[in-house]
Amino acid sequence: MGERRQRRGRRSKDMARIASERVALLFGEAERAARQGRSALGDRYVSLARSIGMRYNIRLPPDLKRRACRECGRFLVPGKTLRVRFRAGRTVRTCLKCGNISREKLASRKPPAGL
Amino acid sequence: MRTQGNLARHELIGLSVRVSRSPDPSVEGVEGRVVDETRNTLVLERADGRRAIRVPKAGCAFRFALPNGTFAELEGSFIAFRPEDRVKRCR
Repeated sequence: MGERRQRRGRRSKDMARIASERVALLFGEAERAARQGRSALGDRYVSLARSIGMRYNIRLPPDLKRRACRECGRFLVPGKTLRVRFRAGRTVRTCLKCGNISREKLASRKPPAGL
Repeated sequence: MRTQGNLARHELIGLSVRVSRSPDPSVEGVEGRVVDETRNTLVLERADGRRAIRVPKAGCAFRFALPNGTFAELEGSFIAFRPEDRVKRCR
């Protein structure tokens, strides 16, 4: 495979693509693990996904970002580790493990595709 | 998408795999799903819910079942890196 010389530290499009695919895969596995009640595994996958994202400088898609606590890094499961409430035009999401609260304006969001 | 060509750099967690060769006879032939990965090992879980096994990558060959139905054989020593490193350091 002919590799063009890359600037030091720059990731290639190839690496970036694989990295973002892996991140998405890992969140999927975290979901699956959480469904089996294996929260530790889900947390581990989140932390791996984060490492990969940081390493290759990949922005995590916002919908995946919301599934992990920014503070403690745990995988968030509404009902078990996450409390979602609506208040004053925002959604208030509380991590039930570390207490971190994140708020997002509802504004005019369309329902995710498929609903 | 995980293909035969890029598997060495892609995510192994979640794939079904069989240890096709190993210097340790008790590990050879073991089948399971990859549940975790470290620099030197793969952690597999077997179907009948027995305790998970930690298989060293060194000296072993693995046969992964890809989601598109095909298989890919990987030599353990070629993927003996931390999972986050493999994207960059594997062929």
